[in-house]
Amino acid sequence: MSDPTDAEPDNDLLAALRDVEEVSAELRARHIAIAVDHLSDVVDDDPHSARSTRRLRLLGVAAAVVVVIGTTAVVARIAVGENDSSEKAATVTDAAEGAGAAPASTASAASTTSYPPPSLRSEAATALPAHLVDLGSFPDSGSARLAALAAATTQRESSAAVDAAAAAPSPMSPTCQVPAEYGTPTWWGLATIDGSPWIVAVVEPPGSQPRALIRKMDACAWS
Amino acid sequence: MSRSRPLRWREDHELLDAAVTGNRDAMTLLLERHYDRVALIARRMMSDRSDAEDATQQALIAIVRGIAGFDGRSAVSTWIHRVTVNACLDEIRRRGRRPEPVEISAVSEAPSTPEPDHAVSVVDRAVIDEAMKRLAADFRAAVVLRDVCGLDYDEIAEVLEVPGGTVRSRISRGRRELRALLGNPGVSRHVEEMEP
Repeated sequence: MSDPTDAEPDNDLLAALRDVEEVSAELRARHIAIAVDHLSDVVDDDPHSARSTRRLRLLGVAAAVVVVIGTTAVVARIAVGENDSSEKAATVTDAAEGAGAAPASTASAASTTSYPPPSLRSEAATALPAHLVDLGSFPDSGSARLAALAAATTQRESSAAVDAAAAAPSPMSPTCQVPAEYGTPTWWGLATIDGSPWIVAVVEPPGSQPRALIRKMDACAWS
Repeated sequence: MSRSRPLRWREDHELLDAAVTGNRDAMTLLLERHYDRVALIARRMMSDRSDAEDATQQALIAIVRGIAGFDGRSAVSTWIHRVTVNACLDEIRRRGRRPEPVEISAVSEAPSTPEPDHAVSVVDRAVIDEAMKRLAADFRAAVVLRDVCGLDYDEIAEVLEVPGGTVRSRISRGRRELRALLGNPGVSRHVEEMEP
């Protein structure tokens, strides 16, 4: 026995109730950003993962400084004609050229990254899981790239962050593409780490900030 | 290994666990997943676009500030619904926007069995807004969760933290009043008077 007023409203009324103005992407992003800013008020400072998150962010900031200093030093050396033959040679993987045009300026910029301090090196070594590092999101693709390069440099212990680099729209190898959820890589590079090829990428998921990823290439099935 | 899984593949409770430890990306993703529902509830609870935007913001902040207290006894989505409804009710109380008195005759004379209501089929957003604004907030919340969000009675009882019978009663009375209000020329006239 049911009250007749329990009957579901007709479809027109339901449609009218559910018909609301669309929230703009800007307002949506602002709402979320403001709310997330309150996270620092409530998080537990002790858990290891919280420390790791902060540590990676610090690594990214430090990496930006290191890259700027390193780039400046290389430019200065080029200016005075210094021969840098003593620099440790990296194992060059020519995937970027094979995949398409690799802008020389991009490859050059990527290869001028300097070593981060040993303290940062050990921090990153403990932070990297077996096959994938999601270094998180960054306010812009440049910051994401710097963080990815710094992490790769740390792992390689080489003066060059990557062996080859390419900027969009150079296609990536189908076996190395990141999942669709992450969006299309806007920049990527290859780095030989411990004898294995890794991909260093900046992706820009739709509606989200750029993310930096490092992934081992022979682990294409994401775990 | 959850750490190597992209955040976007993680369940809500995993994101919440990560957010509690300070993972802003996890918090952001959790809010992005539920934003549309939060905004929809706020829009229908507040009956005014700008008020709804404020309520949405307050609800999102309440979610973030409340994650440490989430006890996991309900689904994350249920908890988010609850926080959102409570944020809206707080906002309504804060603004002192209590429902305007409903014309008694309109409700009491409403037919017990609803007739096909052609007014509803052509009702526009402003009329719906006005009618919803006149519903008591408790009834409005129940109707929104049922007819706007599509939650079942048990879920609504969990969200509102009231017995199932109370949920049925509120939905029933809320719908009855809503139908009466939508069939009440006074509502449409009020809307017309507000329009420039």
